[in-house]
Amino acid sequence: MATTVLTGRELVLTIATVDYSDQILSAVLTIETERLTFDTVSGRAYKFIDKNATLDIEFLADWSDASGLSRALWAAAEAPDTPLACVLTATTGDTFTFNVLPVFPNVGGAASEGQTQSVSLQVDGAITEAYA
Amino acid sequence: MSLATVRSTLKNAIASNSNYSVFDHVPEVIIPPCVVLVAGDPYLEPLVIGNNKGFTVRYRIEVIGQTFSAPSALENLENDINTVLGLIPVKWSITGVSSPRLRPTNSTDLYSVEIDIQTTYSAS
Repeated sequence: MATTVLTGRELVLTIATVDYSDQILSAVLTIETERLTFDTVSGRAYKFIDKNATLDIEFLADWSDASGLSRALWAAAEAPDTPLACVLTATTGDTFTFNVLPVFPNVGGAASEGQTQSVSLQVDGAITEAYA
Repeated sequence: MSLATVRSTLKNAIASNSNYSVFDHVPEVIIPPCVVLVAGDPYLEPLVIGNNKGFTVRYRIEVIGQTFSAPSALENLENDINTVLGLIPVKWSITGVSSPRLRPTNSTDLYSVEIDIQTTYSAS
């Protein structure tokens, strides 16, 4: 098998069909598994209980851009139970499709840095993967 | 927007006074007081995901004063630093100002500080 590296330059993230990649510093989809552990006389046993997924994104604040992610996420968070459709492309053809629940982004930053925002978005429902 | 445009825009912003000369390149002969824009390190650094050429771009502003009469030379240099700091556009982050120091060149010693700044830059 050839050694392959995928870089952040291959990532593409669309939220509600809009590609915000120009604004996003990092995007990570994390699925955590909750599993019970039993100590039995014959050794340890495990039982799957649940899984929970979040989409963590950090992005440049762009309050002056009417079509930017800052305003879009703020407006979406006014209806916090309405999911947003997301597609995260890891590399061309390899995509993960899911819905997230919006939250309000933070506002502000440090004096010596650009203003950035970070949110952890709850994934709502199943994640559908597709590979090239 | 090209890097040359970024550089010239920054040069014009910090040149709006008669206290010093401003160069967006290293001049052949440096005559203080003057301000010279040079590239920071790393000059360009990938910033956003995707392949749309979104970078952090860094510049170093060399503020150069005269070396004679040390007390007033320092005060003049500090005044120039204050002037430059007030003229740097707010889209640029100021990440630090070095301590004033003597810098030897081929022809003379220069009294200078370095102001490091950065902003976002899209090459696409």
